[in-house]
Amino acid sequence: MARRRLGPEGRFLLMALPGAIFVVVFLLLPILSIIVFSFWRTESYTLIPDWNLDNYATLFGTTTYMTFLLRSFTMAVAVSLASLVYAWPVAYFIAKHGDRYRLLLILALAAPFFTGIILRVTGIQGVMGPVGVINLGLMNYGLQPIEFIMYTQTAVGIGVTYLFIPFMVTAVYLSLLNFDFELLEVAKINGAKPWRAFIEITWPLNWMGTVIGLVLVFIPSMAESITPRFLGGPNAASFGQVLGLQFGETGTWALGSAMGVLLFAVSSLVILLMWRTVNLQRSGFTGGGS
Amino acid sequence: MAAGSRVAVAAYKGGSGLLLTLLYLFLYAPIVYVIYTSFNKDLIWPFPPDFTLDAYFKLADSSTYHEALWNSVLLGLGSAILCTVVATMGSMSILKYRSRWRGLIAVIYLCPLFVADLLVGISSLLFNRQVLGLPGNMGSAMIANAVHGTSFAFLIMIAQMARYDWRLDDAAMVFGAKPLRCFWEVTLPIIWPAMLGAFIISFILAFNNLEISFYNLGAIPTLPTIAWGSLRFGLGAELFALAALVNGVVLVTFTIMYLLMRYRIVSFGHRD
Amino acid sequence: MSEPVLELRNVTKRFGSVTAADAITLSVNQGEFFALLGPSGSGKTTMLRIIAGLEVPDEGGVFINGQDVTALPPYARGVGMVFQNFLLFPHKRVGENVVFPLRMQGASKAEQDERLKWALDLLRLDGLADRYPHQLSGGQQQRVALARGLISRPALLLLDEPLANLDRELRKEMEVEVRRYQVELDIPFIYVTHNQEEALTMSDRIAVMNHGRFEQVAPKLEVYTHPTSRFVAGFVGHSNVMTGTLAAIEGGCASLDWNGVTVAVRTPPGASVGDRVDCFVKLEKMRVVAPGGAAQGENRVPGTLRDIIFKGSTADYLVTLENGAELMISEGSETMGFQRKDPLEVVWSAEAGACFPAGGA
Ligand SMILES: Nc1ncnc2c1ncn2[C@@H]1O[C@H](COP(=O)(O)OP(=O)(O)OP(=O)(O)O)[C@@H](O)[C@H]1O
Ligand SMILES: [Mg+2]
Repeated sequence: MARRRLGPEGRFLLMALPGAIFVVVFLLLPILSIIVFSFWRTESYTLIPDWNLDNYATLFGTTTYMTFLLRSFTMAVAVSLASLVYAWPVAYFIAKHGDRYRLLLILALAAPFFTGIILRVTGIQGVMGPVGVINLGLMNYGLQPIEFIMYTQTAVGIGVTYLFIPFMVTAVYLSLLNFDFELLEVAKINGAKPWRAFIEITWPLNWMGTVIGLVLVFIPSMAESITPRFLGGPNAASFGQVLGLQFGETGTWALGSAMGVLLFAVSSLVILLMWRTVNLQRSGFTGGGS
Repeated sequence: MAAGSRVAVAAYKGGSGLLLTLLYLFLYAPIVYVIYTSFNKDLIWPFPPDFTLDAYFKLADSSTYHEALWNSVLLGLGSAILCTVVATMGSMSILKYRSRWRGLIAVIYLCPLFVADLLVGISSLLFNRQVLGLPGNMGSAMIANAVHGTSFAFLIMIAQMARYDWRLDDAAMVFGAKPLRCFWEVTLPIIWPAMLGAFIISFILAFNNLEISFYNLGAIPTLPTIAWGSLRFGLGAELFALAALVNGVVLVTFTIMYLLMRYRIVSFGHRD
Repeated sequence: MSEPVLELRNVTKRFGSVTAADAITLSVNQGEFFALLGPSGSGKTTMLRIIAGLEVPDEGGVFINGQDVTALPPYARGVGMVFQNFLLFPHKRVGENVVFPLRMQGASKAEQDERLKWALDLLRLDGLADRYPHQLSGGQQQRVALARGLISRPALLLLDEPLANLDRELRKEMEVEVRRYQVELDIPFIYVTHNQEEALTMSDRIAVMNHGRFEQVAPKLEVYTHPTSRFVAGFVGHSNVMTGTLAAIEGGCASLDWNGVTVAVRTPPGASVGDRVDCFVKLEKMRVVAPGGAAQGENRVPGTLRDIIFKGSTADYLVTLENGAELMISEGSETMGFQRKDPLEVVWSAEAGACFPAGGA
């Protein structure tokens, strides 16, 4: 009876901590460990704790690595923006007009992930390749086949967008789910035209969801290694691809770790810059608590 | 003017509906191609069609693929259960209690979103091998996938539960429900669609994950790693057949869900 | 006298810099209808949540039927509660909502059915048991919330502004109903409201709360007629406030210089000549008469009628005095034949005024 009851703070920690510890142990510690390994050296497939900066010297000193990095970065930016522009009207449509089928419409965007990435990329080749369905169709009607789609940066871009655009739609949709559409009525009654209401109300109130969407697309696009290998030409190798190589064929784990750290650093920087544009008070975040 | 704006609204609605349709076409065209190819003799060049069920017979005979499928399902389920439990606890605590640790905890739960699959894969590989001295196995792959899926699940649950009225829990407690009973009687019946969404998404992400699983599974085959491995000799016909079957199951599930929604048997959290 | 059902001893609760309950001590007896009246943010809801166990006090103890329940969680306290916005479980039918407390107590199915029938009868909800909450009107939802609070025959029932969301008509009706249930069940009701009419209509005793403190706890008539603090005098009922300086004190009687008008008042305890005081007189304690007309009262002040505001059963007379101040007087609505700009006299007795040291500037 005299037992002291757990206060809200205690109950909060009891429920939140297991998951937080899980993430810290199995995500942050591994990341920390590759940061450490990036200052070591590999010799015949083993890591040797011999502290040095050689990996970073190699990384920054080799033009091709920097080219790969820049290429992946540009690709990720382009893909994120393309997804953003396309995803907004789509997410808005589902949130506003999806009615009781909204969940199904969103799951239908996730369902392609049931098919493995390799098969899907093969499928893209089959549809858009030089002798794929589209070009066969064009030639069948006596038209010029489209040259540019396959084995170019554009092809990689389309492939990467294909993979990650569902993330963007979902993020914006989830944000719109908590958006009070009646606010738009208020704006209109006060004389705002639809586009004006969008810019003044909808866009800022869903900016956080949009940022999360951009991050969700940017991060994997930047690290993507499969699509360039299949859809890119000889000059399309991505940073993720060479990073993967260090852990496969060449077995240079220390250098690979350094590459991982660099990738992580660039991604974190981008996220940080994006996050600075989010003002929690003004994004209408009202996560709760009594 | 009113008529003009009505036309504009209709045009907008039609236009964005069209965009959605095109997106589905874009997303499913390659999958349809894969299914189409699975019924063809020639996998590389399936034109003109030369239909056969060879791939399916081969699949029926191949124990490797059965094993890989089973492993994928196991990996997906294990990881999804972990994700859903962790994300439910995390999102509930953050939405329910005002704690000064709330911000920090939320950032920790979201961290995995900011780390690419590939990085999760290689860093857990090195961490397990170098620091913990563990070989890759199903457990480590499940955990690595679950870490990544947790933040997706968390995000989904937070977004869907943001409007839940936690005072309902207060009411239940005053009327005599202990915390677990309260969750079972009041919270769960209202938030289960959010949990289901989180579960499905984290299952899908783990089921076919290549980059995390590849580095953490050791020699255990799953569908994506077997596909990766068979690249050197050209993709096996069994893979096409399996993909077609999996998509068949998905289609049936969606159809059932559609019918349940259509006839308002289950609303999946939707309120008219 | 029997033991009080509820006792609070020195209960204190702080939220950061806000003290929502400040050393509250209180006992509530069997069968008592106790109203907790106070402005928004005064700590009423916090008080109820502490009694229910939803909030743990920083200091002090809560006793129910003599047992110390301070450390008990809400589900072990056996109190009923009606929440401000009802908080019916949206996924449960009316019947399921109402029997919820019994199910939690592990009552038998037969008992559940019997009690449910009793509760639905009592609250006139027959025929609605299979509806979902969102299919009910506001008044029906309110009654379901009451039924859920009452069904398990709790030791006491806590009600947090249960009528605040209802329209005026329905509220009047429900005030009478709620009072009827309370008399029928003979358990204490602790009724939170910021609506003084509600508190005055229904309760036996009232506590007036401000800034987490009880300003006055007394039978309702006493709170109304003999406020013990400046806050209570200003908050309960409608009063004219006269702020002035005490000019003379003769035993129990004093005279107040109110901007040149001399007003007879009771001597406020501990006051001395020269103090600034506020004198509160309820609108209906004043009379208007034609100059020289008959009326009881030591105070008789001339003025001019500015306007009459018709209120139905009563009418408010606005009278401008010679010192420029304005008084409002509540009279019966039958016409007294006065016109705007007519000269009048306002009459009231010294006893009607409640004086307190002047607040603010
Ligand atoms: N969980 C909490 N955290 C921080 N402050 C709180 C919390 N609950 C209440 N308060 C503060 O305590 C004070 C009393 O609040 P309470 O809800 O008890 O007021 P109330 O009298 O019920 O008001 P109302 O009539 O508006 O419902 C307020 O200043 C409020 O801001
Ligand atoms: Mg309140």
